[in-house]
Amino acid sequence: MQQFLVTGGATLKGDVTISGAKNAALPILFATILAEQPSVISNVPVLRDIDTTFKLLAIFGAEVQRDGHQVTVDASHIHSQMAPYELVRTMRASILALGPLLARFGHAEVSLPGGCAIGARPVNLHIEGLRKMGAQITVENGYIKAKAERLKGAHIVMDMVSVTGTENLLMAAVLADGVTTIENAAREPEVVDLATYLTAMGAKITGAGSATIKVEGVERLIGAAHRVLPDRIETGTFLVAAAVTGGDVTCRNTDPGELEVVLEKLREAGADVTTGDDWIRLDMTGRQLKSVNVKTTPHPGFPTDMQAQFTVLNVLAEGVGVVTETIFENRFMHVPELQRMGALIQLEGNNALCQHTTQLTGAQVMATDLRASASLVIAGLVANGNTIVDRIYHIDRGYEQIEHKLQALGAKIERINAPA
Amino acid sequence: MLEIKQNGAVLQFVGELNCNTVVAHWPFKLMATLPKQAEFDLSGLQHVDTAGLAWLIQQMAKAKQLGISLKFKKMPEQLRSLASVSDVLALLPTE
Repeated sequence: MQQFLVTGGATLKGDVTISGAKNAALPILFATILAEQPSVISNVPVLRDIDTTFKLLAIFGAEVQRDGHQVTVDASHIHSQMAPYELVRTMRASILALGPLLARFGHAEVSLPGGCAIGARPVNLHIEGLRKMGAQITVENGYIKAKAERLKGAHIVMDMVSVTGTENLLMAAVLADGVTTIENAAREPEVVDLATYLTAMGAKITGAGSATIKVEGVERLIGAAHRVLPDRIETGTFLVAAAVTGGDVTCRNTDPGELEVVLEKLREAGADVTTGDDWIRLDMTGRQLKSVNVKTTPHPGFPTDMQAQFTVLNVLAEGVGVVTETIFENRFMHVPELQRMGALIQLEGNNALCQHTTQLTGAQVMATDLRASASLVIAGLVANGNTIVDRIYHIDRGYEQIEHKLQALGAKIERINAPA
Repeated sequence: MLEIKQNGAVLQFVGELNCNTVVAHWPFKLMATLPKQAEFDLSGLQHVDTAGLAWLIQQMAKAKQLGISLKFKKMPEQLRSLASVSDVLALLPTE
């Protein structure tokens, strides 16, 4: 088991190149299944979940070639439509194979993913939507088994906003017979990026980015080239790290327009934030960090994936800041770990009241999910002494070479093996 | 249908600002033609969806990048409600 050893006290300075967004790359890689010709996807991050996706695609019979951040997927010789438990249990997003496999081949078997630390993320939204499109679906021996001669267009109202649910149904609908309307759809930029790629493949989609997506099904799709959008959450994470260390960091290969709400909160917190076409600079030199209230909401509001990082920011800022989580019901698991580092945080329902904490102290803490892990690393950067972050496989799922990127900015962080 | 009329430093938006209409305005080239003090007159908008709201927020970001002080004027109630639900109302440069 690996850990991060973080020694606090460094001021982050310099440039960091932002990777492609995992949450966009994953559905796009699964969408390559829909075409009989190869697709070339660039700006794909090097991450464990991406590797798991390659393994799944290979099990299905697709040929995957990786050259740095560019990936070519040839799904012309798919011979299996079964995603096994051994891989699905390591990555919930494997459920994204269900829609495209079913749409192109008329049948699919995908293991049910296991439980999730940050709250209920039921797959029944995916199943119910596909049933409305005419699929016969059973759940047997831990597997979702779906079949349909050809999916039919349907009017689907999603009970709750789900990004992966929207993406799965979108990928199923593009090859369905007739028009599918997805209401209460997720509006995140990653959904729009998937729709952009599907459109390049020949899909007829309108409304991506709004709560109502309409898809006119086509007979077949063709391979296409696509560049995955930059990771707005990785960008935000580095900007918060720069802010709390009093640093001066420029994020390159990013999109300021997709992050404006977060940038406004950083400005409110006292940071000097400037932007260009594909870069964002945050300069905190000689400035006082001030607490801010944040409330997570679906896009274009404040993203839930930035909540944990802003919890740390508020702990270190002057004043009292309230962080309200409205998306997931159990996403404050970083708080007890931060409290072990001395953070003054009071939890009241879905609110975290963060009080200014003069000095965090290094401690051994446990990462519980991807973004919680990032918040613990950020806390370690400013804590007095050494912080050891356990279970960093969570952070490896979503941040490409985070320790190397932080080291290049001056942070003292290293990956170590836990004592046996 | 969305019509954008330019009158000096003021851009007047008429029609619907939604997922169907914002596509034609990305990138929004008119922004580069605006002076350092500019206004979006939003009184003619009949309907705005979340894609439209996201587009407005993106234009805020672009304006900052270009050094333009941008104001949103005469925001319709429907847009105000949508921004409020998304908890971004306070971020919009309204008067």
